[in-house]
Amino acid sequence: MAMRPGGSYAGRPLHVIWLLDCSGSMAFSGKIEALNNAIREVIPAMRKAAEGNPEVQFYVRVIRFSSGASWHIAEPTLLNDFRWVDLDAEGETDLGQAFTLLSMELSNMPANARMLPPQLVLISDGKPTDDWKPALQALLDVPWGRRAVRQSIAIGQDADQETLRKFVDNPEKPVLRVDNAEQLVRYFRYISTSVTATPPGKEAAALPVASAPSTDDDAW
Amino acid sequence: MSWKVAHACVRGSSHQRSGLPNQDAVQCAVTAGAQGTVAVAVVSDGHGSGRHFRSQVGSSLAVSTVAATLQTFLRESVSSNGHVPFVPEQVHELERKIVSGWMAAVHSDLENTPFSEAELAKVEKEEGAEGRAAVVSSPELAYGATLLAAAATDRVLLYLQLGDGEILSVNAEGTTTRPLPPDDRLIANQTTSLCQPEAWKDFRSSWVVAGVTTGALPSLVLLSTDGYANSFRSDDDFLKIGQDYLEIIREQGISSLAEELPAILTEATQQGSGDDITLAILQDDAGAAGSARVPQPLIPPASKSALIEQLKARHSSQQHKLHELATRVEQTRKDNRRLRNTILALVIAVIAILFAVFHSRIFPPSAGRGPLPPVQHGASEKAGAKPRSPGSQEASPAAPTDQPR
Repeated sequence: MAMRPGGSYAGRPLHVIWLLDCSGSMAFSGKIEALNNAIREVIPAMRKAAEGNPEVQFYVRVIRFSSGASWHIAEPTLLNDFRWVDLDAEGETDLGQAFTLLSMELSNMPANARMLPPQLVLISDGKPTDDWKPALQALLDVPWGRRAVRQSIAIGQDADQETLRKFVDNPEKPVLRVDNAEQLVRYFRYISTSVTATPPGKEAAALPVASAPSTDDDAW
Repeated sequence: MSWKVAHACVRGSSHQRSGLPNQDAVQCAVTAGAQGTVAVAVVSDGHGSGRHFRSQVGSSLAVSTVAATLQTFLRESVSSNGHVPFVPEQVHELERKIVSGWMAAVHSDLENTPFSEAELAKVEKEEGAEGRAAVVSSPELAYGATLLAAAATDRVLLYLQLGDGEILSVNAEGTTTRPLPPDDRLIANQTTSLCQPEAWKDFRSSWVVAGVTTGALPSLVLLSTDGYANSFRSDDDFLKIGQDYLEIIREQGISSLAEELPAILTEATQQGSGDDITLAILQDDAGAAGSARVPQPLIPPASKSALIEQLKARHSSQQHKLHELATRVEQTRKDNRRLRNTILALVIAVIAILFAVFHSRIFPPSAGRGPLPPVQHGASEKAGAKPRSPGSQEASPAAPTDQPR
């Protein structure tokens, strides 16, 4: 029998946390439906990409923010167990509260070397309605917040790209702007699968430059 | 005391899929000299991200330069410092020397093999223009690697570490501890490194001296790149390797373990981190041998007189046994002689019986045992044969009827 010194082996955990805008503006032009549909397409793509990286255990969680912020999916959920429950949209854009909720969670994560840097994805279509700057600073002061791979998608032309850019805080990772449902699926899938397909410790490859705003009738 | 070493270095399963080389390196050596045995184990982990595209060279240069530096340091400092093997200033100086030695080796490699445009283009693709600019301005970044080292004589053990990875110390009871303080900055795949400016400031080091008050040196020292610890579900699962390796070495020896190490580490990377894994083991031969291999005293040394009495008793007992053995040998000899005579008598008897049975055939019986009957010549004589003697005419007419005619 082969020797096996030590206890149990396990893949390294990587936490993916989505911060999703559910403010009233997301109810217009089918944006919230597009977001729900995009997530339904993204999850299978992430599972497939993760098959090529079996040494990593990917856990997904979701924070929703509108008037206040809360966990839509609070339990870290393995990709294979992930089931999507549709979001609805109404209320304000309290992004600062979402940052605070996220900071609290990340500060409770163990500071060990086993855990891979989390991936934080922020998707929004508007301007924050609360005092978000100190909350973002608090998030970036948390070790796991600072070391996280932070990416964002701006939905439509009304999204506050400057806020999203400050969240990303990395000139090599531009904010991706999407102007229709098809782009949302494509870019969200790109971001999500890049982290599941890339070997641990490697940063995601350079992101594609967002295309020019679409002029079709379905544009947000 | 004598030190033994074993090591293995395997390519990570994720590296195999992505085409990355094994970026770990290891070098161990045990040498004998005037001051006794000096053992050195050095492990290095080349960083994996794009800008460290020559990190497999960097780690290899680290283990080769540091192994040589440590051996020289240990011999010189132990011989010159008497009871105190080294003072902190000497160790800090050693750390500076290690970094400058590695830098010199890196720049030598760069002179021989300057960066190609393909290498720089790849960095730019993976890490953007900023990544390329960083490597061009600080070429040593491409060689970035960590360092873990242990160097030991028969009475002193020095630990050095820069960056992530694990050094474990295992005592004779199997208790496993970390001899160096943790560096809380080393999370999320970020590490201090030989390639950073003033890298010597990030070294962690300590040493232990065997003595009456300090106790023995550890039975085992384990040095591993972070790919090994990251393969276990928890820190407790990882720390268990200390006791397990100690037991394995006690049961089958370190040489046998060394043969199995590559398979052990390959399974770990496949079922664990996916990263390259290197493990180096320093074994204090006496300590790791444990109670199972330490000869037990035949007589408990309670006191000198008791010991003598026990020896006398043992001597008397042995003499008695010897006498018994001599008696048995003599008895066996007598038995052998008796058996030999019996067999001889039996053989003579058999010969006599055979003679009696076959005597009548060998010497057929005749009346009065007269002279032999005359030979019949007539019928059997051929032409040209010698003439018969006249005396033969007087032969008996009763010739045998079964003679051929």
